[in-house]
Amino acid sequence: MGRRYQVQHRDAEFTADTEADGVVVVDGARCTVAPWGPSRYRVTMPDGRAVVVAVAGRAPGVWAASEGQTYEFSLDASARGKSGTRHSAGEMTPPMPATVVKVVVAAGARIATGDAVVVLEAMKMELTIRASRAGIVRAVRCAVGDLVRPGTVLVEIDE
Amino acid sequence: MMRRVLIANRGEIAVRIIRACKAAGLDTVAVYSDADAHAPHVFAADAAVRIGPPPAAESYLDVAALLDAARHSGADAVHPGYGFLSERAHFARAVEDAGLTFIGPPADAIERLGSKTGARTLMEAAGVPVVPGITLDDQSDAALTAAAVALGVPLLVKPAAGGGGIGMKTVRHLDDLVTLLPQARREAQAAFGNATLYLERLIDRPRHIEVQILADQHGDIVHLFERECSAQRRHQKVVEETPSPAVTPAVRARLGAAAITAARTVGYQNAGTVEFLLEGDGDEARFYFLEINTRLQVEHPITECVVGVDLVRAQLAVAAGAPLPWRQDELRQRGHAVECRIYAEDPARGFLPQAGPLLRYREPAGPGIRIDAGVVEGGTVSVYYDPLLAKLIAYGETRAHSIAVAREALTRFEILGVHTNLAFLQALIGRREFTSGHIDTGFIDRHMSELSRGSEATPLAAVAAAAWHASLGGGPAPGGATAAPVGGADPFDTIRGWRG
Repeated sequence: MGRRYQVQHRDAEFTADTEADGVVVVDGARCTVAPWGPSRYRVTMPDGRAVVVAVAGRAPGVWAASEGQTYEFSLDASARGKSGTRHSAGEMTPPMPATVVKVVVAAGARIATGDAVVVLEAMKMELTIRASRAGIVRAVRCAVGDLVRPGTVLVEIDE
Repeated sequence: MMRRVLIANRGEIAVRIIRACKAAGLDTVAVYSDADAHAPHVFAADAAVRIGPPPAAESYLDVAALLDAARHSGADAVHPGYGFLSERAHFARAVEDAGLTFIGPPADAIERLGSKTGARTLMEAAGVPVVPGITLDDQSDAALTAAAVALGVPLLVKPAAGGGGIGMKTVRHLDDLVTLLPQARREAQAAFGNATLYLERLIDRPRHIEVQILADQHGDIVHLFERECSAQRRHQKVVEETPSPAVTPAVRARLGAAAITAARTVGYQNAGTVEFLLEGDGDEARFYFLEINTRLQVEHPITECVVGVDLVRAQLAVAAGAPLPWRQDELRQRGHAVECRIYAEDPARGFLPQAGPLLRYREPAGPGIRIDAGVVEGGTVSVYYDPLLAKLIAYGETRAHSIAVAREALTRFEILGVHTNLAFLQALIGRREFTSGHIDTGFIDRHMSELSRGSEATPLAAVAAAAWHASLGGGPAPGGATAAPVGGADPFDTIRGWRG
């Protein structure tokens, strides 16, 4: 126990510190988490209200369902003070689940902002992923035929 | 004498049809692409045949592969489901030519109703009201403009060979025709290979009302009342209900009669749906024929709940030559049903279709709740097909009761691993306009940003639970699920299960 997680949800980031006996302090709010069935928890909030949450997945990709809402979290359990798993501009990741149909660049290539890097295909549409910054391709992390989704790093670019 | 049915489809409708076939004592054969090798419909059937790689064009739309599968498995009938080849006359014809029973209308009827302008002409001649409009042989700008002046604005310019709302242009000022006509022609050519246009009066804030019909092979036709399908996003249905809150008994009777006339005009057989646009209120409401869908529809379960019938079972009986199971005077609507379509899409990102593993999939259950689904926990949602995961059908004694059942059930539906429109659906059916029954086909599009915003509440409890879950090492694997599908089926393992 006693772990700190940076939890990212869309544009928001939370800090969660787990302690013993199901206590989790989220941005200073002290909650108590108790098992409530397989992969389900009953969370008691600081004001005494109880909320049931179902959870699935393994860090960094953890999903939760609660009170009719669904959350996709990105959890980073690295050392205190480090930022979350937000992808830096140098890591290109697809905006939607898709298949790689063409890899335009290779490691070592020099590219300008706007250059095509990878071409994806999904739902019968083609989508060209373009470099958001100029630089040199550090590594290509995908291949033609790969099924990729948001979060999968396609290409790494060094400034 | 039908003995073995091949279900030429996948997902929830394939499961639904397989179950009805089994209940009727028929053998079932499922077909699957490599992406569906471990899908629920494959395991639901008595036997399964691989028909190709994941892309639909190479599997579920491959007529030759489907007929081969029927031949090898000894099937003597084919149920096309909805979508895919269900409304392609050439498929129905190929099935018939192969000596198999096509569980649906005759290929001729499908063909005649495939042309929207052809169908309009047929219906007009039969006395079924159609949306006031003009079809022209002379497709010049001059002729179309003169027709627009005669018809009056606002109007719609529509592709004659089209459907599904594609390529339609709204014209509110005659001056706009000079730019819109060439645009419409280009889009019609690109989408349908045919630049022919026709004009239709624009019905402002219409309701989409459709009537379920069933015809046997002996000339008898009944209607099973109407469904209201006005909750649409960009012409895609999201929530359907029956009875329609806008339809009075007098209008209901007229709609039913018009639907039967429409079906009789084309010599229809088996199940179909006649679509209308409704404008106005009360007994004076006016309706206009739009088109006939020559297949079982996605939303058929709400009719089943309220009328107390099994439409797929009836389709099988009719296809086998039996007379209609009910007389018109035996059919009644009782209670109210609402269907919510649950899609793997992210409303916060423009409803982008989602793909990924179903880490958790738990359906709500209880009185008045019916779920038709084609997925299970541990399965994978792929990029290759329509992202419909499941249909939640809620039944209640009254409209308000059915909406309450639906709202409660949606909060208990747990789907994790892909984003879904669950929260969007809850926001929609919680709206005052929905609960008061005042939805038209443009409602969702007009209120999109409010509906897709998602909850404003900070997810503190969810964050706490997620952090705790992660600290335990991720938690136990999804209960009772198979592992993620192994890529690539054995090419020699074409038929699994029992082969007669």
